[in-house]
Amino acid sequence: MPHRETPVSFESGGVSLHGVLHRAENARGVFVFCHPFAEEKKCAHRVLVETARALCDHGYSALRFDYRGCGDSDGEFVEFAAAAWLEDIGKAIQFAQAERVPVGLLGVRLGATLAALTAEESVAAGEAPGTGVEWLILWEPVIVGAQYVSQNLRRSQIKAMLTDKESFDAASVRAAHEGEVLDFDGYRVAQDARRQIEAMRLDTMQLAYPGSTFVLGISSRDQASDKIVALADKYPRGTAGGVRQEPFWNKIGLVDSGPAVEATLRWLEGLE
Amino acid sequence: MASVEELKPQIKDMIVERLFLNVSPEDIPDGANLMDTYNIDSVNLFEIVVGLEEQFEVTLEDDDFNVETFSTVDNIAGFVAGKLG
Repeated sequence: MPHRETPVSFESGGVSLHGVLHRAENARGVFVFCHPFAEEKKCAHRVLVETARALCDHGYSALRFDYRGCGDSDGEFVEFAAAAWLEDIGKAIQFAQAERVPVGLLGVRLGATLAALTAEESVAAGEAPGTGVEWLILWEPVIVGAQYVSQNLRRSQIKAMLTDKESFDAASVRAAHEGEVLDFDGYRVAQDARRQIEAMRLDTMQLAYPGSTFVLGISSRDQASDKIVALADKYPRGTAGGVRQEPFWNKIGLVDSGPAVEATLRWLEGLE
Repeated sequence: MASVEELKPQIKDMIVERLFLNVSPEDIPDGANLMDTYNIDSVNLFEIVVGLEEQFEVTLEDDDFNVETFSTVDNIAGFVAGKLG
Protein backbone atom coordinates (compact mmCIF):
# COMPACT_ATOMS: atom_id res chain seq x y z
CA MET A 1 0.00 0.00 0.00
CA PRO A 2 1.54 3.37 -0.97
CA HIS A 3 2.53 5.69 1.82
CA ARG A 4 4.65 8.78 2.41
CA GLU A 5 7.26 9.44 5.06
CA THR A 6 7.52 13.08 6.09
CA PRO A 7 9.83 14.66 8.70
CA VAL A 8 7.74 16.63 11.18
CA SER A 9 8.31 18.76 14.25
CA PHE A 10 6.08 19.99 17.04
CA GLU A 11 6.53 21.66 20.39
CA SER A 12 6.23 20.21 23.85
CA GLY A 13 7.04 22.18 26.96
CA GLY A 14 8.80 24.82 24.87
CA VAL A 15 11.05 22.22 23.28
CA SER A 16 11.02 21.30 19.61
CA LEU A 17 10.46 17.58 19.06
CA HIS A 18 11.44 15.80 15.88
CA GLY A 19 9.51 12.98 14.27
CA VAL A 20 8.64 11.19 11.08
CA LEU A 21 5.06 10.74 10.01
CA HIS A 22 4.45 7.59 7.98
CA ARG A 23 1.17 8.39 6.30
CA ALA A 24 -0.86 5.53 4.86
CA GLU A 25 -3.36 6.20 2.11
CA ASN A 26 -6.93 6.21 3.46
CA ALA A 27 -5.60 5.35 6.90
CA ARG A 28 -7.90 3.66 9.41
CA GLY A 29 -5.89 5.04 12.27
CA VAL A 30 -2.52 6.41 13.29
CA PHE A 31 -0.18 4.93 15.87
CA VAL A 32 2.07 7.14 17.95
CA PHE A 33 5.25 5.22 18.72
CA CYS A 34 6.72 5.49 22.21
CA HIS A 35 10.35 4.50 21.91
CA PRO A 36 12.46 2.73 24.53
CA PHE A 37 14.93 4.35 26.90
CA ALA A 38 18.60 5.22 26.37
CA GLU A 39 20.62 2.63 24.45
CA GLU A 40 17.51 0.51 23.92
CA LYS A 41 16.09 3.29 21.74
CA LYS A 42 19.15 3.25 19.51
CA CYS A 43 19.07 -0.52 19.15
CA ALA A 44 15.33 -0.55 18.43
CA HIS A 45 15.40 2.25 15.85
CA ARG A 46 15.50 0.14 12.72
CA VAL A 47 12.80 -2.24 13.93
CA LEU A 48 10.52 0.71 14.70
CA VAL A 49 11.04 2.07 11.18
CA GLU A 50 10.17 -1.32 9.72
CA THR A 51 7.16 -1.58 12.02
CA ALA A 52 5.88 1.82 10.92
CA ARG A 53 6.16 0.76 7.28
CA ALA A 54 4.43 -2.56 7.97
CA LEU A 55 1.55 -0.75 9.67
CA CYS A 56 1.24 1.57 6.67
CA ASP A 57 1.08 -1.46 4.39
CA HIS A 58 -1.94 -2.57 6.41
CA GLY A 59 -3.72 0.77 6.42
CA TYR A 60 -2.44 2.44 9.58
CA SER A 61 -0.30 5.56 9.68
CA ALA A 62 2.47 5.88 12.25
CA LEU A 63 4.15 8.79 13.98
CA ARG A 64 7.65 8.06 15.19
CA PHE A 65 9.09 10.85 17.29
CA ASP A 66 11.92 11.46 19.73
CA TYR A 67 11.21 12.52 23.30
CA ARG A 68 13.00 15.68 24.41
CA GLY A 69 16.70 15.08 24.90
CA CYS A 70 16.63 12.10 22.53
CA GLY A 71 17.54 11.61 18.90
CA ASP A 72 16.97 14.72 16.83
CA SER A 73 14.72 16.45 19.34
CA ASP A 74 16.02 19.39 21.35
CA GLY A 75 17.02 19.13 24.99
CA GLU A 76 19.56 17.20 27.03
CA PHE A 77 19.10 13.53 27.88
CA VAL A 78 20.43 14.01 31.40
CA GLU A 79 17.48 16.32 32.08
CA PHE A 80 15.08 13.41 31.55
CA ALA A 81 11.98 13.46 33.70
CA ALA A 82 9.11 11.03 33.34
CA ALA A 83 6.53 13.83 33.52
CA ALA A 84 8.21 15.63 30.63
CA TRP A 85 8.23 12.55 28.45
CA LEU A 86 4.58 11.88 29.25
CA GLU A 87 3.89 15.46 28.19
CA ASP A 88 5.80 14.77 24.96
CA ILE A 89 3.63 11.73 24.25
CA GLY A 90 0.53 13.82 24.91
CA LYS A 91 1.71 16.44 22.41
CA ALA A 92 2.48 13.71 19.89
CA ILE A 93 -1.08 12.41 20.29
CA GLN A 94 -2.41 15.92 19.67
CA PHE A 95 -0.22 16.20 16.59
CA ALA A 96 -1.45 12.82 15.31
CA GLN A 97 -5.06 13.80 15.90
CA ALA A 98 -4.70 16.28 13.02
CA GLU A 99 -4.84 13.20 10.77
CA ARG A 100 -8.54 12.96 11.74
CA VAL A 101 -8.46 9.22 12.31
CA PRO A 102 -8.40 7.29 15.60
CA VAL A 103 -5.08 7.41 17.45
CA GLY A 104 -3.35 4.46 19.08
CA LEU A 105 -0.15 4.10 21.08
CA LEU A 106 2.53 1.53 20.37
CA GLY A 107 5.24 1.47 23.01
CA VAL A 108 8.36 -0.61 23.39
CA ARG A 109 10.04 -1.46 26.74
CA LEU A 110 10.06 1.69 28.91
CA GLY A 111 8.21 3.40 26.07
CA ALA A 112 5.44 0.84 26.56
CA THR A 113 5.33 1.69 30.24
CA LEU A 114 5.02 5.38 29.39
CA ALA A 115 2.32 4.56 26.82
CA ALA A 116 0.39 2.66 29.50
CA LEU A 117 0.69 5.61 31.88
CA THR A 118 -0.48 7.97 29.13
CA ALA A 119 -3.52 5.78 28.50
CA GLU A 120 -4.36 5.92 32.20
CA GLU A 121 -4.04 9.71 32.09
CA SER A 122 -6.54 9.77 29.22
CA VAL A 123 -8.94 7.81 31.43
CA ALA A 124 -8.39 10.21 34.30
CA ALA A 125 -9.11 13.09 31.93
CA GLY A 126 -12.42 11.47 31.06
CA GLU A 127 -11.54 10.72 27.48
CA ALA A 128 -13.38 7.71 26.11
CA PRO A 129 -11.89 5.59 23.32
CA GLY A 130 -12.49 7.42 20.10
CA THR A 131 -11.61 10.80 21.57
CA GLY A 132 -8.21 10.11 23.09
CA VAL A 133 -6.34 6.84 22.74
CA GLU A 134 -8.24 4.23 20.75
CA TRP A 135 -5.76 1.34 20.94
CA LEU A 136 -2.87 0.49 23.20
CA ILE A 137 -0.07 -1.83 22.13
CA LEU A 138 2.67 -2.66 24.63
CA TRP A 139 5.73 -4.55 23.40
CA GLU A 140 7.71 -6.20 26.20
CA PRO A 141 6.84 -3.43 28.67
CA VAL A 142 8.98 -2.65 31.68
CA ILE A 143 6.54 -3.87 34.31
CA VAL A 144 8.64 -3.18 37.41
CA GLY A 145 10.81 -0.09 37.05
CA ALA A 146 13.11 -0.95 39.96
CA GLN A 147 13.95 -4.29 38.34
CA TYR A 148 14.72 -2.50 35.08
CA VAL A 149 17.16 -0.19 36.86
CA SER A 150 18.82 -3.02 38.77
CA GLN A 151 19.20 -5.03 35.56
CA ASN A 152 20.96 -2.04 34.06
CA LEU A 153 23.45 -2.27 36.93
CA ARG A 154 23.92 -5.95 36.12
CA ARG A 155 24.57 -5.05 32.48
CA SER A 156 27.15 -2.46 33.49
CA GLN A 157 28.88 -4.92 35.81
CA ILE A 158 29.02 -7.59 33.12
CA LYS A 159 30.38 -5.15 30.54
CA ALA A 160 33.06 -4.00 32.95
CA MET A 161 33.89 -7.58 33.88
CA LEU A 162 34.46 -8.57 30.25
CA THR A 163 36.38 -5.47 29.23
CA ASP A 164 38.56 -5.02 32.30
CA LYS A 165 39.26 -8.54 33.54
CA GLU A 166 42.34 -7.61 35.58
CA SER A 167 41.14 -4.69 37.66
CA PHE A 168 37.39 -5.29 37.51
CA ASP A 169 35.56 -4.53 40.74
CA ALA A 170 31.79 -5.03 40.74
CA ALA A 171 31.39 -2.92 43.88
CA SER A 172 33.00 0.07 42.15
CA VAL A 173 30.57 -0.26 39.27
CA ARG A 174 27.73 -0.34 41.77
CA ALA A 175 29.09 2.77 43.51
CA ALA A 176 29.24 4.61 40.17
CA HIS A 177 25.68 3.50 39.55
CA GLU A 178 24.60 5.11 42.78
CA GLY A 179 26.35 8.43 42.20
CA GLU A 180 24.61 11.73 41.63
CA VAL A 181 24.43 11.04 37.91
CA LEU A 182 24.49 7.37 37.02
CA ASP A 183 25.79 5.76 33.89
CA PHE A 184 22.80 4.08 32.32
CA ASP A 185 24.44 1.93 29.68
CA GLY A 186 26.40 4.91 28.41
CA TYR A 187 23.70 7.52 29.04
CA ARG A 188 23.82 9.97 31.93
CA VAL A 189 20.74 9.72 34.12
CA ALA A 190 20.13 11.86 37.20
CA GLN A 191 19.19 10.13 40.45
CA ASP A 192 15.84 11.88 40.47
CA ALA A 193 15.07 10.38 37.06
CA ARG A 194 16.24 7.00 38.32
CA ARG A 195 13.81 7.24 41.22
CA GLN A 196 10.99 8.11 38.81
CA ILE A 197 11.72 5.02 36.76
CA GLU A 198 11.98 2.87 39.89
CA ALA A 199 8.57 4.14 40.98
CA MET A 200 6.90 2.84 37.81
CA ARG A 201 5.01 -0.38 38.56
CA LEU A 202 2.41 -1.61 36.15
CA ASP A 203 1.88 -4.81 38.12
CA THR A 204 0.45 -3.05 41.16
CA MET A 205 -1.30 -0.17 39.37
CA GLN A 206 -5.01 -0.09 38.89
CA LEU A 207 -5.33 -0.09 35.10
CA ALA A 208 -8.62 1.29 33.92
CA TYR A 209 -7.89 2.13 30.29
CA PRO A 210 -10.97 0.72 28.53
CA GLY A 211 -9.77 0.58 24.93
CA SER A 212 -8.47 -2.47 23.11
CA THR A 213 -5.08 -3.37 24.55
CA PHE A 214 -2.46 -5.79 23.32
CA VAL A 215 0.40 -6.77 25.62
CA LEU A 216 3.07 -8.62 23.68
CA GLY A 217 5.92 -10.51 25.27
CA ILE A 218 9.02 -10.73 23.10
CA SER A 219 11.40 -13.37 24.36
CA SER A 220 12.94 -16.74 23.68
CA ARG A 221 9.56 -18.38 24.18
CA ASP A 222 6.70 -18.22 21.70
CA GLN A 223 4.09 -17.74 24.35
CA ALA A 224 3.27 -14.98 26.77
CA SER A 225 4.91 -15.23 30.18
CA ASP A 226 2.83 -15.24 33.34
CA LYS A 227 3.77 -11.60 33.92
CA ILE A 228 2.57 -10.56 30.47
CA VAL A 229 -0.68 -12.47 30.89
CA ALA A 230 -1.22 -10.96 34.34
CA LEU A 231 -0.67 -7.46 32.96
CA ALA A 232 -3.06 -8.00 30.04
CA ASP A 233 -5.66 -9.38 32.45
CA LYS A 234 -5.61 -6.11 34.37
CA TYR A 235 -7.06 -4.29 31.37
CA PRO A 236 -10.81 -4.46 30.73
CA ARG A 237 -10.11 -5.31 27.08
CA GLY A 238 -6.61 -6.68 27.31
CA THR A 239 -5.13 -9.46 25.20
CA ALA A 240 -1.79 -11.11 25.88
CA GLY A 241 0.51 -12.46 23.21
CA GLY A 242 3.99 -13.85 22.99
CA VAL A 243 6.49 -14.21 20.17
CA ARG A 244 9.87 -15.87 19.98
CA GLN A 245 12.14 -13.09 18.84
CA GLU A 246 15.57 -11.88 19.87
CA PRO A 247 15.48 -8.79 22.09
CA PHE A 248 16.12 -6.27 19.32
CA TRP A 249 16.37 -3.45 21.89
CA ASN A 250 19.51 -5.02 23.31
CA LYS A 251 21.69 -5.34 20.29
CA ILE A 252 22.46 -3.05 17.39
CA GLY A 253 22.12 -4.94 14.14
CA LEU A 254 19.03 -6.97 14.99
CA VAL A 255 16.53 -5.62 12.48
CA ASP A 256 13.98 -8.40 12.14
CA SER A 257 10.68 -6.95 13.25
CA GLY A 258 8.84 -9.96 11.82
CA PRO A 259 7.25 -11.95 14.66
CA ALA A 260 6.24 -8.94 16.77
CA VAL A 261 4.81 -7.06 13.80
CA GLU A 262 2.96 -10.13 12.53
CA ALA A 263 1.42 -10.79 15.95
CA THR A 264 0.41 -7.13 16.23
CA LEU A 265 -1.15 -7.03 12.77
CA ARG A 266 -3.06 -10.25 13.50
CA TRP A 267 -4.39 -8.66 16.67
CA LEU A 268 -5.43 -5.51 14.80
CA GLU A 269 -7.12 -7.59 12.10
CA GLY A 270 -9.06 -9.38 14.81
CA LEU A 271 -10.51 -6.06 15.96
CA GLU A 272 -11.88 -5.14 12.55
CA MET B 1 18.12 -29.38 46.28
CA ALA B 2 19.48 -29.98 42.76
CA SER B 3 22.95 -31.41 42.32
CA VAL B 4 25.53 -30.04 39.90
CA GLU B 5 24.85 -32.95 37.53
CA GLU B 6 21.10 -32.29 37.65
CA LEU B 7 21.62 -28.59 37.03
CA LYS B 8 23.82 -28.94 33.95
CA PRO B 9 21.09 -29.97 31.46
CA GLN B 10 18.76 -27.27 32.80
CA ILE B 11 21.48 -24.68 32.39
CA LYS B 12 22.25 -25.85 28.86
CA ASP B 13 18.56 -25.66 27.95
CA MET B 14 18.38 -22.16 29.36
CA ILE B 15 21.49 -21.00 27.49
CA VAL B 16 20.33 -22.39 24.14
CA GLU B 17 16.88 -20.92 24.57
CA ARG B 18 17.84 -17.47 25.78
CA LEU B 19 20.72 -17.03 23.33
CA PHE B 20 18.83 -18.47 20.34
CA LEU B 21 21.74 -20.83 19.70
CA ASN B 22 21.49 -23.22 16.80
CA VAL B 23 22.84 -26.17 18.76
CA SER B 24 21.21 -28.91 20.77
CA PRO B 25 21.66 -28.36 24.50
CA GLU B 26 23.16 -31.82 24.93
CA ASP B 27 25.85 -30.94 22.39
CA ILE B 28 27.32 -28.26 24.63
CA PRO B 29 30.34 -29.83 26.35
CA ASP B 30 30.31 -29.35 30.12
CA GLY B 31 33.80 -27.89 30.11
CA ALA B 32 33.72 -25.88 26.88
CA ASN B 33 34.60 -22.22 27.23
CA LEU B 34 31.29 -20.57 26.36
CA MET B 35 32.83 -17.21 25.44
CA ASP B 36 35.17 -18.75 22.90
CA THR B 37 32.92 -21.51 21.59
CA TYR B 38 29.71 -19.52 21.17
CA ASN B 39 31.08 -15.98 20.85
CA ILE B 40 29.29 -14.91 23.99
CA ASP B 41 29.47 -11.17 24.51
CA SER B 42 28.22 -8.93 27.30
CA VAL B 43 24.66 -8.92 25.94
CA ASN B 44 24.59 -12.73 25.86
CA LEU B 45 26.13 -12.99 29.30
CA PHE B 46 23.55 -10.56 30.62
CA GLU B 47 20.85 -12.89 29.24
CA ILE B 48 22.47 -15.84 31.02
CA VAL B 49 22.66 -13.96 34.31
CA VAL B 50 19.03 -12.87 34.06
CA GLY B 51 18.13 -16.45 33.16
CA LEU B 52 19.91 -17.77 36.24
CA GLU B 53 18.17 -15.24 38.45
CA GLU B 54 14.74 -15.93 36.98
CA GLN B 55 14.88 -19.69 36.51
CA PHE B 56 16.89 -20.72 39.54
CA GLU B 57 15.93 -17.79 41.74
CA VAL B 58 19.50 -17.08 42.74
CA THR B 59 20.63 -13.57 43.57
CA LEU B 60 24.04 -12.46 42.41
CA GLU B 61 26.13 -10.40 44.77
CA ASP B 62 28.93 -8.11 43.66
CA ASP B 63 31.52 -10.72 44.64
CA ASP B 64 29.90 -13.26 42.32
CA PHE B 65 30.92 -11.36 39.20
CA ASN B 66 33.90 -13.22 37.90
CA VAL B 67 34.58 -14.28 34.32
CA GLU B 68 35.56 -17.77 35.45
CA THR B 69 32.19 -18.31 37.11
CA PHE B 70 30.40 -17.97 33.79
CA SER B 71 33.02 -19.47 31.50
CA THR B 72 31.71 -23.07 31.35
CA VAL B 73 28.55 -25.01 32.11
CA ASP B 74 30.53 -26.87 34.76
CA ASN B 75 31.36 -23.63 36.52
CA ILE B 76 27.87 -22.16 36.20
CA ALA B 77 26.30 -25.34 37.59
CA GLY B 78 28.76 -25.34 40.48
CA PHE B 79 27.99 -21.71 41.17
CA VAL B 80 24.21 -22.24 41.12
CA ALA B 81 24.46 -25.36 43.27
CA GLY B 82 26.50 -23.39 45.78
CA LYS B 83 23.91 -20.62 45.84
CA LEU B 84 21.04 -23.07 46.26
CA GLY B 85 22.88 -25.13 48.85
